Amino acid sequence: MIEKFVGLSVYYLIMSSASTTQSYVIPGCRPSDNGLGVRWVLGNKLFVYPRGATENLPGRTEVEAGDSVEVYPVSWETDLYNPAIRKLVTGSRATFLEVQRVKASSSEAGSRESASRLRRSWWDCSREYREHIRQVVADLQGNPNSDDEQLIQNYSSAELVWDACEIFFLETPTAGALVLRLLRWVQSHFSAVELQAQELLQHNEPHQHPEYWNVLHKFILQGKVSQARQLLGARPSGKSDIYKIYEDMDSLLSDMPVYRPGWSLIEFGIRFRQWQERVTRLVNDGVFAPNPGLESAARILAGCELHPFLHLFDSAYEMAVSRAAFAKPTATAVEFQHLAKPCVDAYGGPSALGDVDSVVHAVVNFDMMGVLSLTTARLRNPWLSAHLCDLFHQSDEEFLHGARMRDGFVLDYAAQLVSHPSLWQFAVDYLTTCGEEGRQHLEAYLSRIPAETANKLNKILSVCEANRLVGLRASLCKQEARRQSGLGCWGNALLWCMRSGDAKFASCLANEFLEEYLVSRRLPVPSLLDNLGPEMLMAPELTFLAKYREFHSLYERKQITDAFNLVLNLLTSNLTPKKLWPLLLSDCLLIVEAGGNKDSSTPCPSSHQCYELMHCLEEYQTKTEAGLWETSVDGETADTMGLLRLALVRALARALQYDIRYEPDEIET
Amino acid sequence: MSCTKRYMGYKVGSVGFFPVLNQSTAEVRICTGSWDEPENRLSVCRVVSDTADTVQVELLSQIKHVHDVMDLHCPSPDCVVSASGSGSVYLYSYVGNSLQCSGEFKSSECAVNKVYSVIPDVVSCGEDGSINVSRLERGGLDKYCGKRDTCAVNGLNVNRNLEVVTANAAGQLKLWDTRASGNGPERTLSVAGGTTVGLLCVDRHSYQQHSLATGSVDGRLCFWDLRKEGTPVVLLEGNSSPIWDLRFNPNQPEFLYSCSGNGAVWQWNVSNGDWLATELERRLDIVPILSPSAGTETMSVNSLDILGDIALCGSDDESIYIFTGIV
Repeated sequence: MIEKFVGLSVYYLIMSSASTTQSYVIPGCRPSDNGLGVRWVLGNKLFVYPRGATENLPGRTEVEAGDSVEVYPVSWETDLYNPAIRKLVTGSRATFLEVQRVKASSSEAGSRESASRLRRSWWDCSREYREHIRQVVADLQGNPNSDDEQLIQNYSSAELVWDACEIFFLETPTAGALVLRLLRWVQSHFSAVELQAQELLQHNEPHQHPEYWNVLHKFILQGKVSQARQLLGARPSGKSDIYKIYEDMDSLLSDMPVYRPGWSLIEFGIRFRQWQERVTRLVNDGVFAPNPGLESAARILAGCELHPFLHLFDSAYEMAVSRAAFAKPTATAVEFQHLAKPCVDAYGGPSALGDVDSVVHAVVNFDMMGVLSLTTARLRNPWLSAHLCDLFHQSDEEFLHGARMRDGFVLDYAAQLVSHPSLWQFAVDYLTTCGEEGRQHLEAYLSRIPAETANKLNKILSVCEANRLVGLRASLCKQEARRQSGLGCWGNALLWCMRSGDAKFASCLANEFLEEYLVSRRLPVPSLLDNLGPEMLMAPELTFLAKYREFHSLYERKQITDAFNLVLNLLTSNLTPKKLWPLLLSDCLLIVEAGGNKDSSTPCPSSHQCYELMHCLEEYQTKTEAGLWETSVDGETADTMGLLRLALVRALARALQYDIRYEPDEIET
Repeated sequence: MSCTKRYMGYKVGSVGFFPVLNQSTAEVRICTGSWDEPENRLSVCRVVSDTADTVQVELLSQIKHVHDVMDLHCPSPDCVVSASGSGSVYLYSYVGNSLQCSGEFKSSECAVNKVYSVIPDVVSCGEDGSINVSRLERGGLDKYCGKRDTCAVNGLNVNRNLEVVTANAAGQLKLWDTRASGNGPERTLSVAGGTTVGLLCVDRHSYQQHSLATGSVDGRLCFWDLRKEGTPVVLLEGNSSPIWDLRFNPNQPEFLYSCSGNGAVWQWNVSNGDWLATELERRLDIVPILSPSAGTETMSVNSLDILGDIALCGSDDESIYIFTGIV
């Protein structure tokens, strides 16, 4: 698995993983070029390109416009692409949110949650996490695939480590119960012996099998007494002395005291010591001497040093637990540390321990920071680091001296999620728990997620709205509006523009509509413009557009008076863009020349309106000629204006006649 | 009512039941489609009642799908039509326990949002406002009728007589006559006030063909009476997250189901069966049949379908939910 991008040589991309370093030649790159440039895209993707000859000169950091550059996307897979791990991501997200919820409810003022009940909640969450990991390992094992071996190993180690953390930091069993719990830990995580035993029992004569004694000793060392007795029973029965010692061993095993929580430690200690004395006596009397295998078993039971059995252990701490089980089953956590020391030394000391052992060593020594740094450095499982750190931070803030480390891990994990094209929605929940920094990361990621359909964009916008990312929301709506207008979908463009709430952009888009009208003499999406509602007030150009459409629809419905009133209003208010005056003037001409509204008893235009329109005409003429407006009077416009003047004179005459007859008081002199 | 959750491993964009022709066989098959995946797929599963309370879901067949499955519909027990985010409508046949693609109709470069089929016709509507009717011919789907709306069409309802009702992103409900020439709708109704809040889905009452319900981006449920002009008869506020899909119960249409962007699925019930009467709020009973657990409100439920007394939903948390005994 490629894990990190290490560096760029002239034209090789070098990437390093735990065990190998690989180089990739970027095609199209020549040794004479100025090396490679790189830009991060999102998570696990890079864009790599050959730098031109002049890039990187002092004062120049970017490729100049006009240079053509070939860009090569480089991306690498992460664990998350595996379906079994994906199930872990989905399932553990729910547990992560539960942890946040427990924390939130516990820190509410006046919370009545007792300390032990709270501890129980954390413990439940921890067990849920472990259940998820177990499920992953089961799914991976059920799906044989050569690539998965490493993953199975990774996640089995993850569960082992998590379990150890749970024992020492959350569960904290008391003396007596601790060793019992540690034995269970060993039994569940070092269970290769079960397979061996099964194989053995299928043999015709198990006790003749070369592995028989190893398996028996292993069972005893792991505290699996009943299985040891079952294996012991798989021998030919007989009455002679050779077989009697098997029965003696069996009775020793059956009499072995096993601590039950709630018992008195002192009493258990006494009983165990008495039993061990009995074992020692038998060993010293040479009862088991005829059978070396049984003698070794008896020595184990007597609590001897375990160095002769080193070959049976996979791990220093497996050995330590076995040592504790027989040397001091009532050990406390601190005593266990001491008991473990010689076992760790047998493996070469703390610095020579394997990946998993070194983490367990930190756990046993209550070094939480060490646990997290070793988990990151040696186990390399971002899921594990993030969730473990989060659980321990939430359960006890003193553990990690603040949220910085926890936030760091969670942000790294979220970055992994965002690298996968579908899992960005899961990343949101993690990022929102990381305070202001998380919010900034969220904004940066959301702005880079490609949204090819409106449904996806709507979901991204829901996230923006829920997290009050107002600027990003507006920006995404504008981008979509721009994309839709590029595709020729005017209606969509307008809707997204209004949703963005950006007035400047609305002006821009409204101008595009008007350009389109000037070219094709048809307004795009008229039925939509009819229904704009209060959003049309967002920008003056948009308001003009809506009003102009209203003018068209009034005219089509033959409501000439209202239409004329509207168009005149558009001219006399400052709403009409200057370059559209000729258009509106020619619209006026149509109405005035036709004599206005023939059906109405009052003349249209009225005298007052004639004066206003004449004023507009004059204003247009003078301002244009003086160069105060950015318009020019071309031939067609001049004709229109001339015709309009003529028509207005006639209309004024009609209007004045009406006024003289019907409204003599209103005549303007 | 009991609920079974089944993890699918992909974000579920659309779900649908295959019609059951013979009630006595009681084998229920469902079709699910993924979205937003690097490789999308369409799957057919069998749903078997395990005990009184749970069901088992068994995967029968899966096929790769080009781009997101925006919508799917199963018009017959051996046929699925799907709407793709790439702009095509695909026809699949389910024969001998496997899915095969048997036709494609390319509508445009913009995503096809919804699709519905009344054999042999397939109606689809897209993000560019196009509404197309194509027919299953030998060798594939051929378009024979096309209309255009002013903006993205998100909701589609087609009845047996091929009367098409669409809901668009500008809050308008439009009726189209597929036999008439011309590009435009026969009638347009709008959400009152001219506010352009997009509609996401529409469904028709099973018995009262004039009665429609729509769900919108701001979480409102509107009821419309096609016999009246203009605006919806009733407007209800749900929660504030988008209503992605809704369905009337086909056999008992006094029940309506909606699924939302915050992961909730609600059952709405009007006591006297009349959704269009005034003061609907008084006679309305809302039961959440799926509630988002605390903190999981970002995982929306995208799609919903009902067969008999079983409801099926598909969600962004990569699972489907099956509710049995809903009425």
